[in-house]
Amino acid sequence: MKIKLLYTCLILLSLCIHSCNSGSKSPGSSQEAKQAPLLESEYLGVGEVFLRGKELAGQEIKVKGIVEHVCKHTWKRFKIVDADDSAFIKVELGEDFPTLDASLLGHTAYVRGKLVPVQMDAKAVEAWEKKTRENHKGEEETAHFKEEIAMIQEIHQQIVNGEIPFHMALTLEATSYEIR
Amino acid sequence: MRSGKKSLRQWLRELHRDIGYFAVGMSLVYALSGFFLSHKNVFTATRTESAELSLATGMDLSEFRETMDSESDVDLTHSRLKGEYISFYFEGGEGDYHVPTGRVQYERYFRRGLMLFINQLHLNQRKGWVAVADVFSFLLVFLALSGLVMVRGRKGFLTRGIWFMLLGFILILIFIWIQ
Repeated sequence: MKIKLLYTCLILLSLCIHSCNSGSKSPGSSQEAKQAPLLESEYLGVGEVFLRGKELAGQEIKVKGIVEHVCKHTWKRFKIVDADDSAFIKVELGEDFPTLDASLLGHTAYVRGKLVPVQMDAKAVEAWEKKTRENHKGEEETAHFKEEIAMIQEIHQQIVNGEIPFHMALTLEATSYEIR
Repeated sequence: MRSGKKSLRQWLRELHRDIGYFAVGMSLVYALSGFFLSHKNVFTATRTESAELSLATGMDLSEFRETMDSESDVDLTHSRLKGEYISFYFEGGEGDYHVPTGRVQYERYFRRGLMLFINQLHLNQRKGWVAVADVFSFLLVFLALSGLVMVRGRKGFLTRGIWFMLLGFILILIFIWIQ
């Protein structure tokens, strides 16, 4: 009899904890987003966001782009690009999002989030290269690493040569996203 | 002769037994996913299929796109020139075309559903699972503590168990010390 009572208490305790938790929904769960209808016209292309970077800074915006890279270190970041351009926006998912996987590559991502532009001068780009080298230790021979470093060095060179005054890196802190 | 009243130790034994049975599934989820996550470069959440093609050499971007459309089973969604290569993407995969040799290598990624699912449970990324994880953590505490006093006599806690317990703590201390 007592043991039944104890088990009943355990079940009640678990239900109680569950009800306490149900109030805190994950803000950007993609599973929820999948149910909502999506208006393609509401989403800006990556190129448009670059053009309007300053105006949109700090705002919550909607952007669509093709997933070109998924971060293998965190599985919580990915890059989106326009179909015919190489400029990318880095999308960062918060803690509440499930991890991603490589099968997302090549799909179109519809992301909603806060746009964070970072203006980088030559020194900042050097620091970026250093950080990238640290983060990718042991991967120096991979194509992805070489490509990343080459891209950063090219940007650095462009700034040093005066071709561009600075580099604008765009990050989107996602509140929701959907893959189609 | 058995008395009708159960001792505390008997209670703990019965609870330990039943909670132990109950926790088998969750223990396996955490044990396996913990192992997968610790070795995530080996136990990836996706299965990869690689393929190769041989195309004409020296194509530019638009020629390459047209050729891939007609000669391969992939629909390109994005492609761009990267030095001697054209990198391309399609839904669920990516690849490269080596312009001077015409060699195309590409990979398709397929989700390992079960592995992805239990990893997400481990990381509390499934809605509502945090409640189960909380209950499970308390159950583990109970199992750990009740396990200490379940066995009496020569192989009980004070004569044998304490040494094993200390060994476990020492293992943790070593890691604190070497950090």
